[in-house]
Amino acid sequence: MVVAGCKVFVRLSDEQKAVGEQEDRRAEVLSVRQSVMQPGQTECYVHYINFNKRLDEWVSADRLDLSRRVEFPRVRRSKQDAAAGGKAPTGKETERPSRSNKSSSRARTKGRADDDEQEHDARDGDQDTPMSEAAGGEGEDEGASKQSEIERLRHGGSMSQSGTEISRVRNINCIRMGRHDVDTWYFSPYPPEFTGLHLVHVCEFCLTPYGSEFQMQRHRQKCRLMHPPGNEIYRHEDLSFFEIDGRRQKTYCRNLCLLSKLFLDHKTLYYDVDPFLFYVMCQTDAHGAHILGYFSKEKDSAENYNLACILTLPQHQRKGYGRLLIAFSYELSKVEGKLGSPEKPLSDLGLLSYRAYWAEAIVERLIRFRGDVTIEEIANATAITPQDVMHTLQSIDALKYYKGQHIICLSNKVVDAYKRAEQKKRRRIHPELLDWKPPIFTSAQLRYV
Amino acid sequence: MSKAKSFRSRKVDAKRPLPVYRASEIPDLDEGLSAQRSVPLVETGVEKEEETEHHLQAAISASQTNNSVQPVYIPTPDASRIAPDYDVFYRAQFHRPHTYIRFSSTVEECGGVGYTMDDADKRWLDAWLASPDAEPPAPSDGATAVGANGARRSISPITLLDEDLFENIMDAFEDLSERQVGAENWPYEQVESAVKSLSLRPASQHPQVLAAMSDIPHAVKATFAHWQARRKAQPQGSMSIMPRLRTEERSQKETDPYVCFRRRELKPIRKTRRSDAQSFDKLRQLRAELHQACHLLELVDRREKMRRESLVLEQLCFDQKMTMRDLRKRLGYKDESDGLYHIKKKIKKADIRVTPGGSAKAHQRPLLGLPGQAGHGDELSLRVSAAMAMSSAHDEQFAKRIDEELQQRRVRDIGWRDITEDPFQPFAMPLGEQRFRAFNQRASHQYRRRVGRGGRVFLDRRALRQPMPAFSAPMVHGVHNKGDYSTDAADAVRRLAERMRYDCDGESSWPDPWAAAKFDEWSPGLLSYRAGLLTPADMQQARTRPWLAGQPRPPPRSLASVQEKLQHALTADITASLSPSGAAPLGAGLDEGSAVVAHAAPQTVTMETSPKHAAPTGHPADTSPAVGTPSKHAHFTPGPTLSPSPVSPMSHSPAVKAAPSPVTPKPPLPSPSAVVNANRNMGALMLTTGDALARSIPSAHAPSTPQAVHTSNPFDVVSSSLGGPLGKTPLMCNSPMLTGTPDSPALAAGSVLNSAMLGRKKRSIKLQSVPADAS
Repeated sequence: MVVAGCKVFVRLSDEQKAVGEQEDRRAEVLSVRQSVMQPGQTECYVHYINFNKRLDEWVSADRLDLSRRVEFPRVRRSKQDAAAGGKAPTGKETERPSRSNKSSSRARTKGRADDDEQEHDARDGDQDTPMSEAAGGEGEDEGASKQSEIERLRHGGSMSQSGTEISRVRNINCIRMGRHDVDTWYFSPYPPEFTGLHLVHVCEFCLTPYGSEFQMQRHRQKCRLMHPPGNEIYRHEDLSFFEIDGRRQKTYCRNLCLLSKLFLDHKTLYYDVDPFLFYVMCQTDAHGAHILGYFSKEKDSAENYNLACILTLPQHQRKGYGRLLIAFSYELSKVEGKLGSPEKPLSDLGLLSYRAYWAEAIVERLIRFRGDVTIEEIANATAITPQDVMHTLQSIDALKYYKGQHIICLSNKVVDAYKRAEQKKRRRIHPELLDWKPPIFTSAQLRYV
Repeated sequence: MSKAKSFRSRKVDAKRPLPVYRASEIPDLDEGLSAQRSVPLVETGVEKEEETEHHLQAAISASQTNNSVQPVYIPTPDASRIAPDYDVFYRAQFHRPHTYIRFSSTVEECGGVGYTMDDADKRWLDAWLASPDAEPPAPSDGATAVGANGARRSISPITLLDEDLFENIMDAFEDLSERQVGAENWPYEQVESAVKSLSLRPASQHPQVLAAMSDIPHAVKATFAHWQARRKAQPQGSMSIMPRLRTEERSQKETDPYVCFRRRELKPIRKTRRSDAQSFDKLRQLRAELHQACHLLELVDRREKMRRESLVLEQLCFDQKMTMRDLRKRLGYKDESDGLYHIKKKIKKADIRVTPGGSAKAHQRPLLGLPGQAGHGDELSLRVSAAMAMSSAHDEQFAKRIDEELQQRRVRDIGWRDITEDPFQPFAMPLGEQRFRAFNQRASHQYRRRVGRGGRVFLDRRALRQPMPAFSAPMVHGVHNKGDYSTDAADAVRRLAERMRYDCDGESSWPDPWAAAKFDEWSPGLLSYRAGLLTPADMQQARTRPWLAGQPRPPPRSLASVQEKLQHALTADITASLSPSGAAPLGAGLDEGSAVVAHAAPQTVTMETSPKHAAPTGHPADTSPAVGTPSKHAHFTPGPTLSPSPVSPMSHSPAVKAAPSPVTPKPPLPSPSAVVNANRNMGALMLTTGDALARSIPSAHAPSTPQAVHTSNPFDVVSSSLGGPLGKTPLMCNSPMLTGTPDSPALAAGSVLNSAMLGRKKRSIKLQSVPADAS
C-alpha cells in the first residue's frame, strides 16, 4: 500500500492534459485518507517533485501509477549521514555567519525534509491520517533547528520561515471572498475548525473567516467596514493604498496574514503582527474599497528591508497589480531616503515580479542615458539596492566586457520590451499623490519587535 | 567558466562608472569575451530547492531567450470562479470622501456583536421559537417583571428573542465564560447574577441583555441551556463556540502548526558603537552643564559676599553721617536738612532737554573741576566734583570717542561748509520707540504692534503730548513773561492741566509733577527690591540706553553686559553697585569722607527713560531730530514756580533759547516698562515721612541752591546721587546754564526730577519737590 513518504508517478488528470502537460509527474505522497467525495476510495495528497507546492493536490489512488518505480521511505539515517546530505546554506544564512552552528543545522534539516529521509510511522495508509501528523512527524533532533528557527524569528522581524515550519498539507481548499471563489495554495493556520470545510467564507472588508454561508450573512449584516481600517495614504483614480499598523489593528492584520498565508509559502505566522506595517492596495467601487493585494513592512528593519511579504490576491493576479505594489514599496523607500530590498527568500512569482519591476525601473533610467553611470547612482535614483541592480543587469544580460572594461549594454530585446511596455496603457504610481511621512516609533512602541 | 583561459570572476565595483551603450551602437562587442569576464552571479533570493522548480525555470528562460510578446506565466490554482449572490452579502452603499480616508477604528469596533450565530444556532432558534416554550410566561410573572424594571429601562420592552438578541445573549455568556473559567457548568441563576453584575463585552449591547433577562427570562434561560449544550459539545480545551485562533501554546509541543501570532519576547537592546558614542556625548554634556551650574553658584556666592560688604559699608556711612550731623549741630552749622533723607531735586526740564547736539559743545568744557562753579563754591560742589571724578575716567573715554568721531567727520567734511548747529549726531531712538506709528500727522495717539508670549498680539497705544492750542499761548505768555505763577492765566493752565491729566491715557501713568516725592531708602520694600536679582523687565529696560552712532548695540544678554551698558548710561556714574569694582569708588568715597559718594554706590541714580514727546508747542526742539532721541535720559520738568525767563533759557542751544517755554509741565511719556518701574517704586517713595517733607519745603526757599551741582556729560544726562540718608545735600546735577541763577528760590523750589534709579537693580524713581507756594 502507498503510505505517506512514498514517491510515485502520478498520471495526468484530464485538466492537466488539457493545459498541454505531457509527462506524468513524479510525486511524493504526503498524506493518505478516505475520499470524501467517493466513499470507499482512497485519496493521496501528493507533492509533485520539482513543481511548486501550490500545485500539490489530492488525487484518487487510482491515478497513482504503481507500475512504475515506487520509492518507499527509508528508515531514518543517522545524524551524520543527514548532515552529509545537507544542502548549501541559503542566502539568509550566508548573511548571518554568526549563527553558524544552529543555522547550518537548520539548513541540513530543511534539506532533509525535502529529501526522502523523513521519519514517519509506518501505519497503514488507508485510514485517515491527521494532517498535522504528516508534517509534524519530524523527530526529536528537530529540536535544535527548531529552536534556532524560533530564535531567528524572535529577534529578527522576519516573516519568512523554512519549509519545516509549515504543515505540508493544505488545510483549506477554497475561500469565497467577495465576488470570487479562490482555490488556496498553501497551509494557513486558520482555526482547525475550518479544516476540511468545502468552502470558507472570508469577509471582503474585515477579512474574518466564517465556516458557513449563514454565518457570513449574519456577519455582513453587522460589519460596517468598507475599506481597510487604516489611513489612506495614496489615491489615484479608483486605486488607493491604506497604511495599517499591526499593533493597532491586530485583528485585521492577523486576518490579513492568515489570508495571505494561503498564498505564500514562505511566510510564518509564528509571532504576532505588532512589528509590521501593512500597506493594502484597494480598488474602490460603490461597495467599498476591495483589497487587491498588500505588502507588509517592518517598522524597524535591522537589515534595511523595505518589504517583508507581498501578495496580490490570486483573483487579481496577472493584471499588473504586483508591479504597482512593488513600485509603491520603492516610493516609500524614496520618501524615507533609503535603499530597500525585499526580504528573502522570494517566491518564484515574487522573483519574476521583482525582476520585471527592477528591469523596467533600471532600463527606464538608462534608456535615454549616455555616458558613464555607476551602479550606485542607479541605486540611488531608484531606491533599489546596488546588489539588486547588479542582479537585474545580469538577468537582462546587460553587463558586458568591452574594450577592457565592463559596460552596460542594453540589448535590442530589452529595449524593445521596454518600448512595448511603455506603449501599454498601464497603471503606474504617481509619487505626488502619496500623502505619507515615514511613521516614527519610539523604542517603547517597538519593544516587542 | 569552463574555458581554460577564463578569468577569475570579479565583482563590479558599485562605485565604478560604467559606460552605457545600446547593443546596436557597439556591433564589435565580443560576447565570448564578455562571458569570460563575467561577474559572479548575484543570488536570486529564492530558496535553493525552489529555484530549480520546473515552472520557474521555464519562465526565467523564457524571459531571457525568447522575444515573444506572450509572457510565460507560472501556473497557479484556479481563482477565476465568480461567487454567486454577491449583492446579497455586500451592499453598494459606499461613498468615498473627497479627502483621503483617515480611520482608526478596529475590526471589533466595526463588527457589532462578537458572536455570530451559525447554522446550529439558527436551527435551534427556529425550533425554539416554533415550540410552545417560546410563549411568554404567565401574565402574573410578566407584570412583576415589568413593574420591577419599568423605571430604569431605556429600551422598549423586549417580547421576542430574535437573532440579534440571541447573539447578544450568547456573546454575554461567552464573555463570561472567558473571564470566569467553568461558567458553562454554573446553574443559570449564578450566570444570570454574574451577567448582571459584570459589564460585559459589547458595552452598548449589555443593557439589552439585561432587559431581555427581565422581560423574557424564559427565553434567556432557554438560550443559556442551548449555550451550555453547545459548549459541552465542543472538543476539550476549546474556549469558545466561535472558531478562535490559537495564539498560545497549550502544550509544550511547539510544532502545532495551528498556533500562530505568539507574543514576542523583549528584544535585547543592541549595543553599537553609535549608541555608545551617543551616551558618551550625553555624559559629556551633562558634565559641562554641571560645571556651569557650579560656576554660577560661585558667582552668586561672590556677589552675596560683596553685597554684605556693601551693606556693612552703608551702615558705616550712615554712622559717619550721623556723626557728621552731630558735629554740624555742635559747630552751629545751619542746615536745612538733617541729611538722613534725600529730599529734593530741582532741575529744570529745559536743561535736561538739551539736545544731544549740545553734548559736543558740552564736552569741550572740562568735565571736572567745574571752574565756573567754583565761585559758588561750597564744599558740596567740591564734593560732588569728587564724586564726578569717580566717573571721570569713563566720561573721558566717551568724550574721547566722540571727539574721535567728530574728528573723522571733520575730515570727511573737508570741502563742505557746516551750517548746522552741531555736527554731532544724536543718539538713535530706542528700538521699541521707533515702532510707534501714528495713523496720520494729527493723530493724538501712536500705536505699535507687539507680539507677546504665546503669539498674542498687543496693540500699544500712547498718547502724543499735543499742546492744547487754546491755552498754549497764554500759558507761555503767562509764565514766560511774567514769571509769576499766581497769574490767572497760569493758574488756569495749571488747573486745566490738572484736569486733563486724568483725561489722557499717557498722562495718567505719569507721576504727578506736583506731588512731592520722598523716599526712605531703608524702607523694607526698597531694600528688598534692591536686594533682588535683575528681572527680565529690568534687563529689558536696561536695553534702552545711549549709544554711539556706528557702535553696535547688542541687546544685553548677560549681567556683565548689562552692567557695562549701565555704566555707560550713568552720568554720575557711580556704578559701584553692580560690579565688583564698585567697592573701589565706594571706598574712595569714604576716604574722602564723602557721604554722598558712599551712598551713591548702592543706588546710583539715573534718569527716567523716556522719549521726549512732551516738548511744548513752538519749541524748536520739536523739530529738531534730537528731540525724540534721548534714551536713558533725565527729564526735568520745570515746575510752575520756575524761574523767570532769563533763567529759563539757560540752554546753550540757541534753539532752546529761541523758545524757552518749558513752562507747562508736560512730562515726557515714559516707555511702558519705565512706567511700570516708576509705579513700582512709587510706593517706596511715598513712604517718606511727613516731617521729611516738611523739612524739605523750607529748604526750597533757602538760597542754598549751590547744592545743585552742574555737570554736563556726553549724554546730557544729569544723574545725581540722591545722597545717603545722611546726605543733607542732595546731589544736584544740572545743566551748566542753571548756574546762572543759582540763587533763584523758584528754581530751587520747583523742579521735577524724573530719574531712573539704579541700585542693584535699575529703577525709575521720581523725585520731586513740593512747589514753593505749596507751603
